[in-house]
Amino acid sequence: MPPAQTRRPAPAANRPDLLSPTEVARLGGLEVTTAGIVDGFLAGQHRSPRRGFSVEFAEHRQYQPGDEPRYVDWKLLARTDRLYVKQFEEETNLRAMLVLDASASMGWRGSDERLAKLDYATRLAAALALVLLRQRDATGLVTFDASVRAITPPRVRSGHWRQLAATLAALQPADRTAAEPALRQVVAALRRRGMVVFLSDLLLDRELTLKALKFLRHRGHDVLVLHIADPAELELGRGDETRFRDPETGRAVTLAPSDWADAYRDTVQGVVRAWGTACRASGMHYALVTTDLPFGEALGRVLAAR
Amino acid sequence: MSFAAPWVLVGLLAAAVPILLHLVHRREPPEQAFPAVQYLEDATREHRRRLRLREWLLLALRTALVVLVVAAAAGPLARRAVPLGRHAASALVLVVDNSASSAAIRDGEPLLDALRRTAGEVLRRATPADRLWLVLADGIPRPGTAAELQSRLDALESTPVRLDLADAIRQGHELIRGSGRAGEVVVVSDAQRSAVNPVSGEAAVVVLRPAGDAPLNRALGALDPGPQPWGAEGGRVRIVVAANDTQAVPVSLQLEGRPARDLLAVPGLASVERLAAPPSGWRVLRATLPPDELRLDDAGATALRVAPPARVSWSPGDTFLDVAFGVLVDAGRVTRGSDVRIGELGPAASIVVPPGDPALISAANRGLAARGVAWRFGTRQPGPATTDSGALLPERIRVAQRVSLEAIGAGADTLATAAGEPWIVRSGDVVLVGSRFDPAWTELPVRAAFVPLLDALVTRAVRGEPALPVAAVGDPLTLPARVTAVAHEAQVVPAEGGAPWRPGAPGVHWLLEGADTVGAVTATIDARESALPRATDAELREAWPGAVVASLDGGADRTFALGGRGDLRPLLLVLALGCLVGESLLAGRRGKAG
Repeated sequence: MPPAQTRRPAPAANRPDLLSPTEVARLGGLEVTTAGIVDGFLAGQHRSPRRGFSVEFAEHRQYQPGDEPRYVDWKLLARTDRLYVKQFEEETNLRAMLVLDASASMGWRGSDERLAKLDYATRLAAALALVLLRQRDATGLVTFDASVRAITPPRVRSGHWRQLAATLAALQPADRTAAEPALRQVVAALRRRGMVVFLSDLLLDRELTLKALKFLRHRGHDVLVLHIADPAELELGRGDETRFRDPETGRAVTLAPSDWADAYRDTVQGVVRAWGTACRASGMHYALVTTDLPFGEALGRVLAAR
Repeated sequence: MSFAAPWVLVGLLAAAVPILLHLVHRREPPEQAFPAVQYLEDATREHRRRLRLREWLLLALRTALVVLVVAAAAGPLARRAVPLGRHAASALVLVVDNSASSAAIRDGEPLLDALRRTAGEVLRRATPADRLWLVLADGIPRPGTAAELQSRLDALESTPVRLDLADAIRQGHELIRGSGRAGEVVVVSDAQRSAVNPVSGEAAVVVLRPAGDAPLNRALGALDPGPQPWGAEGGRVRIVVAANDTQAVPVSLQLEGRPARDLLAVPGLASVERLAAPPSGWRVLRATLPPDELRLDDAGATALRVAPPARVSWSPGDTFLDVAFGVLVDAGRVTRGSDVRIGELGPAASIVVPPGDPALISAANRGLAARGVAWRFGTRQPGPATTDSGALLPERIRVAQRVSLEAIGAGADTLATAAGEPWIVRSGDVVLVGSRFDPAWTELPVRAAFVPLLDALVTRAVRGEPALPVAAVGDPLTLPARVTAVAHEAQVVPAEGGAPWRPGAPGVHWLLEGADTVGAVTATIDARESALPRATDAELREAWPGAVVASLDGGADRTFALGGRGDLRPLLLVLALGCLVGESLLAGRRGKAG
């Protein structure tokens, strides 16, 4: 049995989940920082997000603040003087699949002060996976660009997160974007109802992607679309005429940002509204996450959507 | 349209700068990776057309701004006045008619005062860039600044000189052409009909004239004492009054040293008054009319020469001279004596004919040379000839024989010619005739002109002929060769005999040869100045096609607008400012566009 640990929440100023993503990235590798993020995030919650406990005992887990007292193994407490909660096999009914866009466009960042979208998305995905796994939710991962790069089936066993984290840490942005094949793989991987978290900058074929997402929703999955965007993609800023080239397609547009700032902002807001409207209309969740958003806040949005 | 500094238009090449900048700017923009190109395409698809239109508008505004500024710097001039502005730098010839008629009283003040005020208003509209001339009745163009010309105007007085407005306009146009600028002639005048003569071609003229009719005027048209010198018997004076009515006018006639005599004269008709001769010498005869609106022509004066009959001697037995002088003696024009010798050279005044024997010509010439006579007899001229018409001898007289007359020094006058060559000449008090008074030489002795000719030669030519020309003030005349000075109103001015001379004031100008009075010029005001009726606007426009005719009051506003072209610079600069504002607004909206 693991010893009982009663950790006090770290001060808000030092909590990795509330630091800027860039500062978090400076703290260490994905694996290390993600654990800190999740710990900090969970420590900040007044209620554990866990749920789905059933009657068939599976294993003990170290007590965490927010766990319902009724699941505390009082006998074990009496014997070891440490707090453990009982977990049951039914808790793993939720199977989550993280679908991560690793196309070339995800490797872009609008400023050296921010993480590239892919770096941000991998950390966010790792944190999300860790939260889910700690809840005993089987979590898998699909990475894709123009085609499916890798598929990690949903598992709940210990050590699975490290496998996911390693896969995420090794990701490099490349190639164009085509989400539909990846989402088809999700259909195959999630035979029972589960949750699909789609992380992408959504610079792809919207109609085709929405069609695939709606199909997942039709299969009964909870679908959460995380729109990963660099703030510089939302606001064009000012400046002289510039030739803007798409790193994926090579297409280019020459314009003066000063002339087009308003029009561009309107267009982006229209895209965001369109994604949100389309997702809500199909019972899916949509959240815009910018790469300057602290991971804890992003996680809060994700879990609130759940 | 023209330009004051056309070379500045080279700067229009700068108009290409915005275009080049635009093109260069568009050619090599920096490249930047940006994954959301799809959004850019979406954003620009809708608005690109509008923005491109604005880009072109901006380019057009910037180019127009450069063009307008450069064009303004080149000093564009429109043919006419333009809004927003003062007139272009131009040339203006201001003709102020201060001739005699300007002294007429109008509304209780001399018309000249009104002319002066209006001319001053015209000058106040001038800018330092304008070239200005002031032309007065003397016809002399005076260049100067507005202030300088204004000071001349302030000191301006009416002058008895007549001003021909057509001549002044022609002269003004010459000045304007010479200045190389556009311009106009501004005539400030009472616009007497008699002073308005046609000017050929389109005239850039602004005429500022008094409104209303001209006042009634009566003038002394002529004061003529008849043939001179008067003898002891006195003479007749002819007086003519000019007026635009027929009412009899009282005239006061006064001969120097005698009481005045009054008579009534009917305008347009000559009145003759017989006067007794005063003591011999030079006298002044004056005539005065009652005062009216124009005082300058209400009085006149003329010189009168009163002399005793010449005492003449001639060769007895010369039938033709005997008869002729008999007539003159009977008429009291001459008496027998030794003042004038007829036929050969005497000790005093002489009328010399060539000797009948050619061998004696040399001796005659030696005698003439000894007297300092500037003429000598030459050789016999072959063939008959005819005299040329002249003042002394109006009739043409056939000459069968003659001797040529050769000038050998200064002071030689030719009084009559035959076949274009001197036939009667004078040098001092000696007159030479090229033919003897013999029908074998010339038919003159048997012609009626013989007696008057002898009278003229005896009483005028050899005794110091009183040259008594009558001339209008300002008109040129040639002084007799022996004149050395001219005296007027007790002021003596040296003069060159034989040279042109203009009387500057009305009245009698005495012609002096040393201390002797040898003649007089009676200077009068030009009779046309007394005719005050004004030309109508239609007559003015007919005489000066294209002329702008306006009243003295407020008419100055019409100047610097006809020949002087409009300065387009203020307009262009306002347009440039508009372009600048438009450019700023458009450029300022760039960030908000789309």
